[in-house]
Amino acid sequence: MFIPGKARKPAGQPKIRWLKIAEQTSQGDWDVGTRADFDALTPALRRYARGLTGGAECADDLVQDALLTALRSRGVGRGAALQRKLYAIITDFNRMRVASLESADDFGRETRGEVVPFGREGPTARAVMGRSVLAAMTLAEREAILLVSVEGFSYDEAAEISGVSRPALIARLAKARGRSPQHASAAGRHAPGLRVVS
Amino acid sequence: MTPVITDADLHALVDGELSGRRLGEVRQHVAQDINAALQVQRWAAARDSLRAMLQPIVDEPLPLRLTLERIEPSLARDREAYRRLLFALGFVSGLVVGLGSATLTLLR
Repeated sequence: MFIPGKARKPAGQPKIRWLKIAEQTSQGDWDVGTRADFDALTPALRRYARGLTGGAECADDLVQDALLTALRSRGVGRGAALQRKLYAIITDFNRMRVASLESADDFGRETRGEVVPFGREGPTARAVMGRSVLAAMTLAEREAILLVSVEGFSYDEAAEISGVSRPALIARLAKARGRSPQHASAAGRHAPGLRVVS
Repeated sequence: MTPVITDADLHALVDGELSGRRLGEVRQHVAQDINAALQVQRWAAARDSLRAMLQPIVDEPLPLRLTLERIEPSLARDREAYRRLLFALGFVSGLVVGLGSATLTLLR
């Protein structure tokens, strides 16, 4: 199981933002409503973690650690605040996981999106295309596209979860979409990045 | 004056971030500009493809280790260990204070 506390901490390690979010959540008791929230959120958390990592075991490790961390914290919170907190924990834990990879080459290649962690699952052509798209993205781009396009968070919520500004999130989103196969065919006609079209 | 529409507006249209007057302006632009319409269509198709690829994970049965029934005993053990630690600290503190007081009393 991935143990965040044992991860090698590289220079420039991102600050653990979910602690700040935890402070913003209301103090809630461990009651029936909270249990229902956790039960309802867990399947979507698995989806997000699977999208980030590309592997089922690794993704479930992240989700398990996130659930335990949230349950151990004093202000578990409820509803949307709890949801954002759990996604932020998974995002941070995955960054630490990637940063703690044994090989420096692996770390560099993963963050640049040059590795293919999505190579083993799923037989359908649609799945293969989707995986190749995610694998071609950097970690930051993958976080942005998963939070907004798949998990349905608003730009402000996704920016809070990722710990970046709204413009930075939109820039990551644009870069991520620039890597899609459909976009590649039209790349010759469009300049990269944001541009004025009228 | 024709409103200026950027790629950021097209992203926002795909992601449902626009509302009110701006939404109308961007929709109108997309209806008139074939390149913008194709761009929006491609991004929406990529979004739908990604959602379709990951959606089956939500319908999978949860692994036992991710159910609260499995997680709660672990938390209960942690809480019990914490209570024992507090008890031990209290006992040792009491012992030190008691012994200190006794020693001071004897020395007087």
